[in-house]
Amino acid sequence: MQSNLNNTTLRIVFDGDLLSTNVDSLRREIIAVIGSHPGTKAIAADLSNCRLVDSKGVNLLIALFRESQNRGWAFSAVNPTPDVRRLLALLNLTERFGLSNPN
Amino acid sequence: MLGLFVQEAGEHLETLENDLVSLEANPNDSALLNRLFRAIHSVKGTAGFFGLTPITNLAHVMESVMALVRDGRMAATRDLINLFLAGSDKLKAMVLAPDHAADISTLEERTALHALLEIEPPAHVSTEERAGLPLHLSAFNIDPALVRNSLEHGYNVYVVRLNLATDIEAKGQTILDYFRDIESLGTLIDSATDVSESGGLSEEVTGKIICSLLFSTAMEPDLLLCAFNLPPEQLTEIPSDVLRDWVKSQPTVVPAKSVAVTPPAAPTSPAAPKAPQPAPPAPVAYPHPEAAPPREETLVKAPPVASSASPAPAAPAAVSRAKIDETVRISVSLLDGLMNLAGEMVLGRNQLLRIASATGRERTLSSTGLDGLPEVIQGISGVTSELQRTIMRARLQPVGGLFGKFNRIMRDLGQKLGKDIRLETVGDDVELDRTLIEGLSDPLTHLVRNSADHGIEPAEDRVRAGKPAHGQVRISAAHLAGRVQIEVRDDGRGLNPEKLKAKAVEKKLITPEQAARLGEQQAWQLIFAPGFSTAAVVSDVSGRGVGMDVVKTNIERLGGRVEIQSVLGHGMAIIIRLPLTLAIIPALVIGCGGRHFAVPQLNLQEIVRPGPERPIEDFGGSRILRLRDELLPVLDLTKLLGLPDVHTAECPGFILILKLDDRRFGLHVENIADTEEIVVKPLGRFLQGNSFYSGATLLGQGEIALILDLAGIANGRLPPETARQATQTTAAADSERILLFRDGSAETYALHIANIGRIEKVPTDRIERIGGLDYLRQKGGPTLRLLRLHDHLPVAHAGPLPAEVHVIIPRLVDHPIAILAEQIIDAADLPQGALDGRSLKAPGILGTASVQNRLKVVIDLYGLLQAAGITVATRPGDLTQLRVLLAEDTAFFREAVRRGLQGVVQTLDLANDGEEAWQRLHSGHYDLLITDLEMPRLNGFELTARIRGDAHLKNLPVIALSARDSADFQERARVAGINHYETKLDRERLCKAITHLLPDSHS
Repeated sequence: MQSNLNNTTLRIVFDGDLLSTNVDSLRREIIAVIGSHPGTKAIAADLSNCRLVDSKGVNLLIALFRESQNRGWAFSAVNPTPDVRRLLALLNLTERFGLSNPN
Repeated sequence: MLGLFVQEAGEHLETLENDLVSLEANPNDSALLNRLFRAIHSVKGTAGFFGLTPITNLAHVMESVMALVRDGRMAATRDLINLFLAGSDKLKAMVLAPDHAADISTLEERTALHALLEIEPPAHVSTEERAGLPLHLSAFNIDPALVRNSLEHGYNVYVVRLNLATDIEAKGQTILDYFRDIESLGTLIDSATDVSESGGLSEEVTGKIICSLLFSTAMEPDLLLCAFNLPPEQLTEIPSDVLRDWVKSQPTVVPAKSVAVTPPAAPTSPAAPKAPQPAPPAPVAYPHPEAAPPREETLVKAPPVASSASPAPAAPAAVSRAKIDETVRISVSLLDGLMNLAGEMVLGRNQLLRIASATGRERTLSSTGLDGLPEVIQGISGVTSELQRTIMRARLQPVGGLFGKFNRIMRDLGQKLGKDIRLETVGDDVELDRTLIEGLSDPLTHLVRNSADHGIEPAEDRVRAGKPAHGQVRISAAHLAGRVQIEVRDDGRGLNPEKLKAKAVEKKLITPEQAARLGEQQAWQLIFAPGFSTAAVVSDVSGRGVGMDVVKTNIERLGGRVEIQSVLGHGMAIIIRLPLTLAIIPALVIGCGGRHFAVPQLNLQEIVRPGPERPIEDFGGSRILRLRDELLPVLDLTKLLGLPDVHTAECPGFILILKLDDRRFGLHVENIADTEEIVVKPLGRFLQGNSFYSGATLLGQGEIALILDLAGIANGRLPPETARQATQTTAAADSERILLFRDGSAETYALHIANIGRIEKVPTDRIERIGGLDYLRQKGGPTLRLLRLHDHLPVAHAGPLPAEVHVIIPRLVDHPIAILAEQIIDAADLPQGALDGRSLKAPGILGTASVQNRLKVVIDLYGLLQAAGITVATRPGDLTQLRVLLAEDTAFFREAVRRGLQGVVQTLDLANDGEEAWQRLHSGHYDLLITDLEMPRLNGFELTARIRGDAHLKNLPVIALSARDSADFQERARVAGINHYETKLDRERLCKAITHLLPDSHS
């Protein structure tokens, strides 16, 4: 997982799939990244490398969304692959995740 | 009334299917599109009239999508046409059984079609608009159009509650796959995921996500739970009145009219497109099924539609009325009834003619006070014939209706097999009796499927062979000499005789020896052998080893014949020849056991009378008639039917020579009564299982006669096709059929059947020994000299004779001689190459052969005669300077000719086939070529053609030897340039032919 802070937006780039096997470690990494970027006002979760996302993976994104809500930050998922976009659409999460722009 | 609907809707659906297939090639043909629209519309309208909701529902959505295509708002892609064809199939099934239409699921087709109509993303619905919904629906963002559509179709709407981890993933599915499955069962109106369960990153992340779906489907709750694999508490049905009230409060969506639509491969999720998508197409408002306009016309067939973009223009009333006057729909049963009455009238006419004829013979009609009656009867007779012909015409239907269905079949087959196959139909307007059309449907379907599967090669193979990548299958119909000829022709790989033979041997249908003897055309016939299939891979298209034999049987049942034409690498054709009708046929009335039977004249070739000149002989338990060098099996009708045997020398009866397809056989009957046009009546139920009869008829004298089913009579009672061909070639062509007999010793002898004129059983006391020679006294005939083999050949000595013996009278020998045999054992095949001419060498003996696992001594008839001091050879002129080349592939015939010409000509060189003969002709000088006609590598026709085209050899005299006494062969021989055509094994005639031919040729 990589991250960078652009102005106040913390961009989190996942290296691969979001699956039950790696969600717990990712959650810990994200907590650490957020802690190291105090100026953050928004989170952008870059899903361009995610081919597969299972229910726990979706829940990680929901947790990130809820975390942002709790902190009063904006949250968006960006660059989803087609399957991931479809999955989020079926679950009616695209609007919540700010997926207004395909790219 | 419902029957009328079934009939009419069936016709519309036939049109629909054919037009859909045509649409693929002509997607912008507006006339076609209008016709398609109207066909669906008519089905929907009439189904609505009868309250057949399941049919109406499917037709309705098909009509709506077709309207988009017609209006140029949707492309008629192959996928869309597939979808329509699937819908058409379901409509057909429902129309055929309207009472059970509800049992046929159309959900898949409707869902897919709906998806095409509903790909417009739902308009954003404000919270205010959602007011009025039950609380548990408030989480959904509902598109009123989707709900309205569900209500219109009577679908149920459910809320489904899912835990993605436990309800999907724990059961081994992925979320996407699960949604894909459920979308095939109905329409996902909306979904809502509860995110409130998560408190943020501070909590452990689990897989538990609760997602609620608003789902519309025709399925009942129990079924849906099964499909969703969910417990009942996770499903809630929304009452339709709640939804209806809510929908009423929503504004109607106005359809847009601008966007061309290409149907997606899979139904689109309504939830997914909520995110803005580029250029979304518009939803379509389509009319309510119940609001369908009334039927346009039901009594006339659809007139050609003028090219117009306007939807289904109603025909002007005057034109419509005129059409009604021209064509009236009549039920088939009424037509059959009329045909029956016409038949009865024909019978009545026949009786009247018979009575008038009998009365006229006894006294003049004028003396009976019936002056003028003959003219009246003549008039009635003429009118009856005309009436019958007219009604027959009414039963005729254009074969195009039958051909039409092959468009669809070929299209589907092409897709399934991955081949581009184009179907051409010719002669659609040729008319056939409806019984024949019905009977042809299955055989033709099988032939078309075979052509597509076996005949047409894959595109790459075709291109390699220099053919167009697309295959061509042509079905044609034409009137030909009072019959109808139907052809299924393809430009595929053709039949490979060697491959066919190998397959037949592999399947143990014939022996390798039989295979070696089969000519090209005989090998083609193998495809009709039961259980034969050359498909390397058994597919669901063909290749299951059933079919072609059934095709042939079915065609024969229709009174037809099947022929094959094939050119290897270029394609093949199956040609079916059928009578125009089966209802009234000319027949020969024959008598047997005091009863009358009718034999269809179609199968009758000639009638012969058995007698001393033309005896029925017993070969190995089979009765055989020798007719002009052809051996025909003879069946005895009296015995078959279990009637008392009345055939005697004084009353020998008649033999009907019958032809079934290419099989000829004799039917021995007691007497011939008359020829008559008979009206075919179906058999009563109690006789229907009987294979001897195909129907019954009433004869002129009022007697009921059964019509013989010749195919049924011959079935299993004649030698099997391949074996028969082998038998036929014994006398006719190149095979070696031998008669096995004993002369009283332990030895078994074999004599070529073609050498045998007849066999008689005689009492030994009629044999007298005079001057060391045996003679048989014959009543009214010449005394026969009998040859006992051990007297003339170096074979075992036979013991004393039993009370009765057989005498074998040779053919083609003018002398009154016969070979004495104590016992006739059997007739058998002498396998090619089985003759061993080295182990036993003697005059009168060709050699030995292992037949039926025992060694037999094969007799050389001419050698035997010479050994017995009988000179039969005609030593014509002086042929001793001649150098002759013989081309013959069969060892037996080669040896027989060699021995026959031994000492007659100076040199006789032998070639095993045409190719070898061609080489020899170039390496040596010959005065004459004697050639067999059917040979491997290079046949006699081709060999002669080459000779005639060669500057050095073109004047070489050629004599063809063949026992095929066919005009076709003789004509081919003449065309090829063969100087003389002679029958095999007739040594004397051969010698005469040489004498006759050579002086002229030499000069």
